[in-house]
Amino acid sequence: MVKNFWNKIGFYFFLVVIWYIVANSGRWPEYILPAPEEVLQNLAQGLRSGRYLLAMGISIRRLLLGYLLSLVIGIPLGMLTGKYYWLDETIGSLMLALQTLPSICWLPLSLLWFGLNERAILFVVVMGAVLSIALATNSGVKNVAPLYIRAGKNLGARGVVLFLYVILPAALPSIVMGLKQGWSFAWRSLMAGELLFINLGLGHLLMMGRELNDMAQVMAVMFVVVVIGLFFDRLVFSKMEKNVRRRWGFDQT
Amino acid sequence: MSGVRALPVYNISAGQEQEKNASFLAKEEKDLLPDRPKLEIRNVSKAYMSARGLIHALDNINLTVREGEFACILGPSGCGKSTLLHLIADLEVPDRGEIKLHSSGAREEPGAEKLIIFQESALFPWLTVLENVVFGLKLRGAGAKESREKAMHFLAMVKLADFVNCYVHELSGGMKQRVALARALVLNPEILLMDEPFAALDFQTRESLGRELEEIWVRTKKTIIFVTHNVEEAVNLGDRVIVFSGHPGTIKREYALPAGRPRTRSPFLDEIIREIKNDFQNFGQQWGEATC
Repeated sequence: MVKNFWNKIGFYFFLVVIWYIVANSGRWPEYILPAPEEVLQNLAQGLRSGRYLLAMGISIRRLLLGYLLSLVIGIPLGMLTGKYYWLDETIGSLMLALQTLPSICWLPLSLLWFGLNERAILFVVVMGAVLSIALATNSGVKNVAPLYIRAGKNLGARGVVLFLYVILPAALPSIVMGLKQGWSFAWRSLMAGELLFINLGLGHLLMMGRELNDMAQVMAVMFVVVVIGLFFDRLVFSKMEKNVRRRWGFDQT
Repeated sequence: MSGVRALPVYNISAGQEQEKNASFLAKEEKDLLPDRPKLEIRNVSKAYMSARGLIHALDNINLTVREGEFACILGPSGCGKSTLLHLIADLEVPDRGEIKLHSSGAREEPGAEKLIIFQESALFPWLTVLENVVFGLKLRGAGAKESREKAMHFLAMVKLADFVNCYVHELSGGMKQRVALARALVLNPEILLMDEPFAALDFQTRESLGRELEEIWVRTKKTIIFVTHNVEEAVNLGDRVIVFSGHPGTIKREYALPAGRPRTRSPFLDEIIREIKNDFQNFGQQWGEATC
C-alpha cells in the first residue's frame, strides 16, 4: 500500500522533471510546449480570477443535470426491456443499434432540433449516457439467477414487490457498472459538445486557449478535466462498485 | 393409497429395534403420526416440452402426507421428485390432478404455507444473514423489532447466532443451508419442502446437518417433505420413505420406518437400505446418474 503510493509519487515526479528539462531546452516554442511552472501559474491565475471555477461550475452543472436525466430515463427503460420480452425485441434492439453511434454524432441533429442553447448540449450528454445505463440495467435484470426469483416467490414476493426487493438488488452489480460507464460517457460527450458548440464551460476554455495560442491554458484546463473525472470516479463510482463487490463476495479468490 | 398400483408397505412397529437409546425421545408414535392428512396429492401428472420431445416428469402421483410427518421422497436424479416439490410449492402448475394442503386454521401471525429449501443456497447475496432471515417477515409487514427477535430465535436454533451480520459469501455451504432453514422456519410454514438440501455438502457436514434437522423437526413438529437421491439419508431421516422411479416419474414403493428419535443405525435399517438399493437395480435405474 505505502510502497505503491511512493511508486506513484516517484513516477509523476519523474514525468514532471523530464517535462521541465525538455520544455526549458528551448527546442520548442512556448505555444507548442510550455514549461510545467507556466501551466501551474496559468492554473493558479485562472482559479484565483474565478474564470476556471465559473467554467467548472457550468460544466459540472450540465453534467449532473444530463446524468440525472439519463438515470431517470435509462433505469426504467432498462428494467422494462429486461422484464418484457416484446419490449426487448423492439426497443431493446434499437438501443443496441444506437449504442454504436458515438454520442457527438447527435450534435447536428440536436442543434437543429433545439437551437444553439443549453438544451442542445444536454441532449448530447443524455444520448451519451442513457443507453449504457439502460443496457446494463437490461442485462442485469435479464441475468438474475432464476433460483433467486423462485426463492423470492416462495417467500411471498410477487409482482412489483418481487421486482423491487429481489430482481433489482440481484441486478445491482450489473447496474452499478452501467452507472459508472454512463457517467464517463456523459463526461466525454459533454466535453465533445462544448468543444464543437461553444457556450462557456470547460470545453469553451480549451478552445479559447487554442485560438489565443495559449498552450499553458489548454494544458491547465485539460488538467482540470482530468481531475474532475478522477474525483467523481474515485469518490462516487469506485466506492459504490467496491461496496457491491464486497457484499457479494466478488473480490474473493 | 387409492392406488392403481399395489404398493407394498412395510409397517414396522416402533420400539422393535430401538427403544430407550434416545436422549430426546420427545414423541410417541401416536404423537408423531396423528393420522391427520396435511397434504393430499391426487392423480397429479406433469409433462414438459423439451428439445427431445415431451417428457413425462410425473405420472399419476397419489400421496398423502400426515401432519407432523417427516416424509422422504427417494429417487434417482431426473425422476421428477424436484418437479413434485415445485408443484406443491406453487412454483409450477400440474397438468392434471390436484394438490390440497390442509391448513391448521386461521393464522394470527404472518407466515407462509409451503416453503422450499433448495439444493444450492438460494440466500440473497446482497443481504446479511439476519436480513435474509427477516426478508419474508418484512414482506408481510411485521415490525422490525419483532422480526429481529423471531429471526434471532431461529438463528440460535440453527446455531448461527454469532453470524447474523455476515454476508452470504462468508459462510460455508453447511452454514448457508442452516440459514435457509432458519429463513423458512421463521415464517412458521404449514409444510417444509426440502429439495436435496444437503446434496452439495461433504459427507460429514451432511451427517451432522441431518442430525440437527431431525432435532429441529422434533422441536418444531413441522411437516417435512424431504427429497433426496441418497438412500442412507432417506432411511436415516424419514418416518416414511417413498421410492420414486423415473420416466415417467411414479411412486414405486413405500417404507414406513420406526418412530423412535433420534434414529440410530441398526441392522434393521441396514436391511432396508440394502433392499431399496436392490429395488433400484431391479427397476433398471442407473443409480445416482443424471439422466438429463
